[in-house]
Amino acid sequence: MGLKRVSVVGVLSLLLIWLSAAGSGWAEARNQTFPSFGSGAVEVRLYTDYFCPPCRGMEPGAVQILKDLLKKNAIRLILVDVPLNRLTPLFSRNFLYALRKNNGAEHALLVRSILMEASTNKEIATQELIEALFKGKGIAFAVWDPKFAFDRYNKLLQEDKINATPTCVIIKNGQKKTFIGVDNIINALKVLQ
Amino acid sequence: MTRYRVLKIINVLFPVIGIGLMVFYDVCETTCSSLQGTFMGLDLKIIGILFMAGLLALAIPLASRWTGFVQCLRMMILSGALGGETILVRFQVVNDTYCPFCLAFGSCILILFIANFTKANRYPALGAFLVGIAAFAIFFEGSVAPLFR
Repeated sequence: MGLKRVSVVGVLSLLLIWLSAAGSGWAEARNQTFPSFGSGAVEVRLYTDYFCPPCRGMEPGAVQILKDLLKKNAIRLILVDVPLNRLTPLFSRNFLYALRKNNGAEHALLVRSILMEASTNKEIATQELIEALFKGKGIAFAVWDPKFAFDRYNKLLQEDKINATPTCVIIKNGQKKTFIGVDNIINALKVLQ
Repeated sequence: MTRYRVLKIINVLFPVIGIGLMVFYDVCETTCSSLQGTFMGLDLKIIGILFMAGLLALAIPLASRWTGFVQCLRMMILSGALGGETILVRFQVVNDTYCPFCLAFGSCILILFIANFTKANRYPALGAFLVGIAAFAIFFEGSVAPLFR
């Protein structure tokens, strides 16, 4: 009888520990910053790399259309960095640092543009220089561990089998379509307008 | 037009096409591909340009003074490159990611190889082909799926 009671208490205790651990995981996930904006019916996943010249070239045109689509709440936009360059993780980390202070779509697109422009300057290759850049541009940032965001990036990169940038994945009515290259992406986004 | 003349045109034309493909791939692409490769740390695009420039140099009239030697050398270079291409194509198939420019470049090598192949050079060619496979198997490093670490 005593043994039975001890076993039941033991199992219940383990269950409680497991539930509290899972609960803290959910809470942690909720607290994480991730570049996802809007709540429209169409999901737009935009895959770019700061160091990819065509991505930089697409930026002004795409940003305008994306702002417009977000304003209409037509889309749910997810900005995914693709680490094609060895410095991309550094830039990506700082993008997330800036989002930690302000996770608005307009702000995110502005920070992205600043980082894209900075990627053309080969001297900007350290944390200190990016911090100086942010300070110079008046971008607030908070240092945090973006592992959660990087893991989500990796999941999306694998799910959508990304092997080139810029790539845009549009999920509409349960159907997923992939567009690669500047012109194809701009045209696909214009169709959503 | 004699066979010799056709061969001469092929030996000039396809290296030029190969160089053009690599330069275009490097400069005028509208996307950045994650499919990247190096051979002994050097970008494959640069290796490709240097390789085709070497073949082009062998096609200039000055080199034709040593016809037999040049022909044998060209055959060995092409065989080695074909061995390397075998590894590169395998890499693309295994990763299910294809690079049209690289495949077109590989086709140029294949055409040059077929055009220049003679029975007389088959043993050195086979040796060079195997060396090409071994060298690329050891020194080629490729990446396909970019992930955050």
